[in-house]
Amino acid sequence: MISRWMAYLQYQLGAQIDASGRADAYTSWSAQLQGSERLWMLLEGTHVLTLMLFAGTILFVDLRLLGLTLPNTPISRVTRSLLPYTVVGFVVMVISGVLIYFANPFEYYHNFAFRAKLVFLLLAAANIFIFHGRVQANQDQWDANPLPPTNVRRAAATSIALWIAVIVAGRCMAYEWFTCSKGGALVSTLAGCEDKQATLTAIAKEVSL
Amino acid sequence: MSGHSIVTFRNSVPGAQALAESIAHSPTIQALNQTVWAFSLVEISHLLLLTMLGGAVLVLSLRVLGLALSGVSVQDVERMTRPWLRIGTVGGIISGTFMSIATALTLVANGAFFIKILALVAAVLFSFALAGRIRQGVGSLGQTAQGLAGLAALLFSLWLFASTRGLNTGAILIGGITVPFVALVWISRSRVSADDRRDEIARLLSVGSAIAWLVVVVAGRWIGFS
Repeated sequence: MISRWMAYLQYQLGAQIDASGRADAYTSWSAQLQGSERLWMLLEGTHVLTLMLFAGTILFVDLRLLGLTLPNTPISRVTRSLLPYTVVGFVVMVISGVLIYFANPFEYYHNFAFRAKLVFLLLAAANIFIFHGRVQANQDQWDANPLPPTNVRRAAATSIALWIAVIVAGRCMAYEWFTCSKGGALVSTLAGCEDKQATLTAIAKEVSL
Repeated sequence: MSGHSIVTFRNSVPGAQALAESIAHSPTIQALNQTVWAFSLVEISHLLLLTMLGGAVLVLSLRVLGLALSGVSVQDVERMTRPWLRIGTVGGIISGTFMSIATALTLVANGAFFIKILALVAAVLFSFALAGRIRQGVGSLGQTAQGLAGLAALLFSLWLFASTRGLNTGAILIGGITVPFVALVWISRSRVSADDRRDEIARLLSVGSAIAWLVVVVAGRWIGFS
């Protein structure tokens, strides 16, 4: 069902109806966004740059939580100062990411690397919630410690590992090995390639590709 | 828009084309190019290194400008970011060289690649001059020379970016980030502590280094677009 919806977004939403009564996939909003050279380049460029603002600032917060840098500075001082930049980076990153996704929703949905990226993003979000909810509850007690307690360091190491995984998976979306056209049997299963084929068959009467 | 032909290594550096051809035709490089997964691993490493490098440059610049970590001394922040700046720069250059060798013939005729290398020279000069100034606490003739050479390389790379057909969207992105950034630095002048305002040269170097690294990253992305 999601596959069918993504195909609608990519091929039909905003598309003109041709002489045969089918949606012309090349005229959909999604196709127009992908074909709009300048906007597309700006979105991609922005997405890469926010990585530095977002992940680059998180790195130093996590390093402090790991006890590897600025041992004499209270953790709260580091986080309070850097997190606004992290948040701005995150917001711009999500907006540009969603727009880039919208340019090719059906293909990305059936891309194994994209699915892996989503899973890592969810895990990273869970890690943040657990950190705020449980680990940070008694921050007063270890805020000034050069070496914070084990559970704090564990959360920080998990954060670094997960954001690296998100970046790596994001980069891998561009490689054909993770798509239905070039991927092996495992990728085919994990990317729902049978589902993709079924959707393409189902929409053949409504869309000219 | 474009009044000049695209500036590349092929048409501006004698011997560049011959070098690229000899690299591209060497059996080792041809074998390497067959190993697609190796190239991908290097590309992924390049992106990760660039992320940590960008973070280090940004955090240090924000600190010098009094826009972040104001409770921590500039010296401590420089010490904190130094390993990441070095690993990012050296690792980025090594992985970048690997990628350049594998695609030498394309890059030698690519305008964005020329701009990237020019901006990289500026970025490294600014970063060195800034770190030196913070560590030594005073200016030296060497730093001034580095700063001026960096400025010349940066301005040239920006001009090429803005005036080359097919690349000027990258210049729009750089402008869209640089203008608000410089405005933020300017507006916040009255709010940052007197201590953080004292060293105007360091502030200028940190603005220069942030912009130069920005150009490096954007030009790098635009290699793929052009």
